Amino acid sequence: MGSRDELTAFCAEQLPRLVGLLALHTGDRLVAEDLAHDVLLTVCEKWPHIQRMERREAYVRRIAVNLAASRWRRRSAARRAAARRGPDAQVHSDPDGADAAAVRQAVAGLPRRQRTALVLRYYGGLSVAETAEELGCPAGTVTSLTSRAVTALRGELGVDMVEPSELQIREADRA
Amino acid sequence: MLDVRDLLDSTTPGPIDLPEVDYDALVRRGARRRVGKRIGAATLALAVLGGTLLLLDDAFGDADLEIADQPESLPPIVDERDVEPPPAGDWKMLPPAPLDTREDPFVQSLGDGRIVVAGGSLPGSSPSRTDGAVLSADRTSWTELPAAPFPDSLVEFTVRGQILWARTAPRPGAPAFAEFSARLARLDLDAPTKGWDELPVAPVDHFLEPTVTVFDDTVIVFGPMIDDTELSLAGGAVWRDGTWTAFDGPPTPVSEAFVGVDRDHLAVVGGQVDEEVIADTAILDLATATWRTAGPMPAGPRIHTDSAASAIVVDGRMFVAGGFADPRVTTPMEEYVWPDPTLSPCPPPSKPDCATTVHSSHSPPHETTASGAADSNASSSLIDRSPSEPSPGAAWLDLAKGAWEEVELPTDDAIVPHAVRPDSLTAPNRLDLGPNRPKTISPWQLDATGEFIQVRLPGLPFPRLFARIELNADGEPVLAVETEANRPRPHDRRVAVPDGGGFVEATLPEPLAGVTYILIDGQLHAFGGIPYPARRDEESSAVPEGEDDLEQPLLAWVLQR
Repeated sequence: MGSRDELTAFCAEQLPRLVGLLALHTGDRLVAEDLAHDVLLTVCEKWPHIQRMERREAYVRRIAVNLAASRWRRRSAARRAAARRGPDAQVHSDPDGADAAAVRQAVAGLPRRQRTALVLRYYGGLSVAETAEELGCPAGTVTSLTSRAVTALRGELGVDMVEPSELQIREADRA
Repeated sequence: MLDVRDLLDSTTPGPIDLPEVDYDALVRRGARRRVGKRIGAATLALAVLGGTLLLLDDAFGDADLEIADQPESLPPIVDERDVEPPPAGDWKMLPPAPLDTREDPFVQSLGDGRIVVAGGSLPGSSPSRTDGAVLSADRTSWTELPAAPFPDSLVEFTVRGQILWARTAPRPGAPAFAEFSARLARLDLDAPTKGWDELPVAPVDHFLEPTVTVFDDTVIVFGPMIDDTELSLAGGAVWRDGTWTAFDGPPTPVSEAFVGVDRDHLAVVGGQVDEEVIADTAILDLATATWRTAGPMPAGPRIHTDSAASAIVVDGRMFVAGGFADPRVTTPMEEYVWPDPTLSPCPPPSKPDCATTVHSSHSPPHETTASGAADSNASSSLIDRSPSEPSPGAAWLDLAKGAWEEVELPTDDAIVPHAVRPDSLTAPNRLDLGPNRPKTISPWQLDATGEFIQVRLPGLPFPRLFARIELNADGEPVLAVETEANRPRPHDRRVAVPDGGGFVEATLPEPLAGVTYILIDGQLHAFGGIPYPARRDEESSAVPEGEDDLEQPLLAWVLQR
């Protein structure tokens, strides 16, 4: 597979979870689609370096949260999304349904660092160390952030959910 | 008990639920950005090193994806004399126009493939050319147009739809406070034999260099007026449905305000009243000629200076940024002109090689296009030595609603004097942002949709500071034309077109000065121009050699690549 083909395949493979990650981060699926396009453009630009990485997906997810953190990029994407929606569409209409919309709204409503830690760790698949590097904080802080995020989501969504580590403990206890 | 990962995963959209992506286009754009950044970095390095550099890089190919394992670094410095630049293409001469040649003719595509060429100037203080012609869509024949009915005036042209508009304009160098009344006429390019239809003179008096804005069915004239004490925005008139309707100035007379106009409204923001700089906003409904006030500019009071402020209208919203909060900025400013733009920047006055000219800060208002963009002749080398602080922030004003929306500018650089200025690019509604320091690349623009776009500027064969750069809809440079003619060359301005990751120069086969370059359907065209030796004698009272050259036909070319 030539390098260009590899890049194209990589972008196509990444797109759904990129949109998913950005939708969780911003709370808006259409805005996420526009931001994901920007992320893939950056991936194409930096491909010579990304191609040689072992953890390409993790790096791309970090690009995504950095782009989403930019206020003007979000506003720019929001305007494009609004134009695509049209004047009569509800602002929070989500093509993936009410449940997905509710989860996204809840996650997007978290404080920024909790949201970033949660999304990178439990959706982006980054390790604690990678997430800590992105947030510029110690590993222990990442654990604390995700714990608080899950607690907040539990209350917001009324869903009994746990972090994977706690799940393992509970299953071990049951055994 | 639900794993939070499963909960989050459940929100992942399926591939079929996502819009289609053109990955090939994405890959190409990514590659262009990558190459553009290298060239941009090299150009900055040039500015820092003061050397000569020609970036050698291949056009994008698969090999480009497999570069050596090292950070993107600047290419080695190469003396450009050792490298032959690739040819841009071949200039093909089109049939000459049934017009005498001239400098800087107005040229515009009519959208149906035809090209209209009109007006233009002659060396010295002669009246401008007022005739024109239309080149057919197949580029084989011309249709001559009658001359505009302003034989002894400086005439400017614009096109709206199939209507060619002509307006009289103040002559450069006219007395600073001369009264002037703009005259207008229009010609139907689909029926040119019917002749020009001259509008009645607008019922506005005592206007100093009024701004004239032409829309498809509306003309708006407005401007400052001289009263006993100071300049102020005095009102104007609207031409609609065959009649002029005058309107007064804003309720509070104000000078040096930001003014934006579209077909339905004229807004006045900020400005100066007595010695106080204000943030007040007044909006004129052009249909009823009535003013109303709106909330103040949320980013604070400011006065408009033509080289340091913008008031551009996009889709019924006026973008306001820049300006100064200190009335002392209206003291004279200095303009620095470099004898050779390839030299390093000209620092403050001590540099012996630099010429300095002192100009008044009261520049004339700019004629605007249908969307309010300014056709600016502001020098890109202007540096304000005033001690004033620039007004920060920017905001959009919805002209219909009178509502403000503050906006965050995308550049991380602090806004410096002249950071936001009328567009120096030819594309309408593009606004340059960024520091206006010599040799500094202004990477951000406000495009026609009101979005901030980052422009990847390529390496040019002439300094960016002296280049008019045209962008396509993606914000990518597609044409660069040199704007300064202060160099001893047989051609008065250079032009460059994209090639690979950079730009290459496209030199006409004949030495002509005052050529108008324009991209039409992606092809570079050139019109007019005067043979260079004839132009050299423009200031001599004697009949210059080669005056016969002025009576030769207007030449037209297209670059074939």
